[in-house]
Amino acid sequence: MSKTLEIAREALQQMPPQTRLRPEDEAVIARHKELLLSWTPELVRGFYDTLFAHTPTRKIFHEGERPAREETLRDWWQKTVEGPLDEAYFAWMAKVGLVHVVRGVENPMMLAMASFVTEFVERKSLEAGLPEAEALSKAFHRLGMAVITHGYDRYQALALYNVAGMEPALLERRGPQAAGRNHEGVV
Amino acid sequence: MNREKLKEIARQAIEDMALEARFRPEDHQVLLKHKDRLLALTDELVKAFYDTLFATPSTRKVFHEGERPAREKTLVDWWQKTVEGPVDEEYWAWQAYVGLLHVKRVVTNPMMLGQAFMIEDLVRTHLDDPEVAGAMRRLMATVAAIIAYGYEKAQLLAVEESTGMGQELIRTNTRLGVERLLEE
Repeated sequence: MSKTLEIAREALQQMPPQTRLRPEDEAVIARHKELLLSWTPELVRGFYDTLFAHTPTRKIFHEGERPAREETLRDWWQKTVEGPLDEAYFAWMAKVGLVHVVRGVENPMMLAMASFVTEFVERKSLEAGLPEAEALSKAFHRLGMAVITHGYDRYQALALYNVAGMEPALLERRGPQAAGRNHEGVV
Repeated sequence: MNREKLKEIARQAIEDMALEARFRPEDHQVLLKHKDRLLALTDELVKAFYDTLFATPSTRKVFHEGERPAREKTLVDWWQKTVEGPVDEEYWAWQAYVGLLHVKRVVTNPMMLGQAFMIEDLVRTHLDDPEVAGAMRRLMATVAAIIAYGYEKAQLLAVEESTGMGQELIRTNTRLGVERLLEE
């Protein structure tokens, strides 16, 4: 099994089933495929306008990189809308977490953009007067970005192993000690 | 970890977030406007939250025997403080501390993000109001971002303490290490 697949499985398995993407979520996305795909240019423009308007996120990009990144997002949106949202898809999301570490994308940056995508789908669905607006918005909300975050955390732990010679399991045990030692003087 | 350090972690997490996704002072005005209805949800929210966690093997493992009442009390407290405010630097520092506690209790970010979704979903199901929906989305995105960031900082801190390596050097080396993993 590939490492990305293992990490994706781990992330999904850690989430209570009530909070995971369900087959009915995938089905509601599939039912709105054409409409969702027609929103692609607006989503991509809004997403990168937002990132480029904010100093910490703009700093992530190299000069002239925007067209290539827009292409990546277009690709993600298309694969997400067309499905299947299977293990291979989530393994890909775990790999996105890894790429985020390399590019210095912090989890708060990513979680803010996950919220941006959810808000976009909700607003567009309501504007379009879709009878299933709520179910569609919730599907994207459930799709969430937990796998990317977990990929980010796990790869960081693996890399720290290379840096510090600490096994990820040891890091997890050390982390608690460090956090626990600082128990006093807290909010 | 002292209060100033926790405030700094929260500040960094918030600054990294795009403005559109951050919780705003006017969002808290919305929560206050609906305060009574939001607080009336407390019992249901707490029950659903822990029923879900205890029904899932991966999250049930986090808890000690007989711990549930104490944890429920913590969530009641969090919800009450969130609704009543003030949602200020102290509040956000408290969320950063939750990230540290999550490392200590081995609560991973996917577990936390799943529950953040659950809270938002439950509130929105009961209060069908676009204003509340927006405020709750930005609240939970900000809380989740700070907790995830606090979690990561706690791990980096542990490595710093073990190796004596500075955080910047750790971060650079981590990035290089991940680049190698990406090539594999």
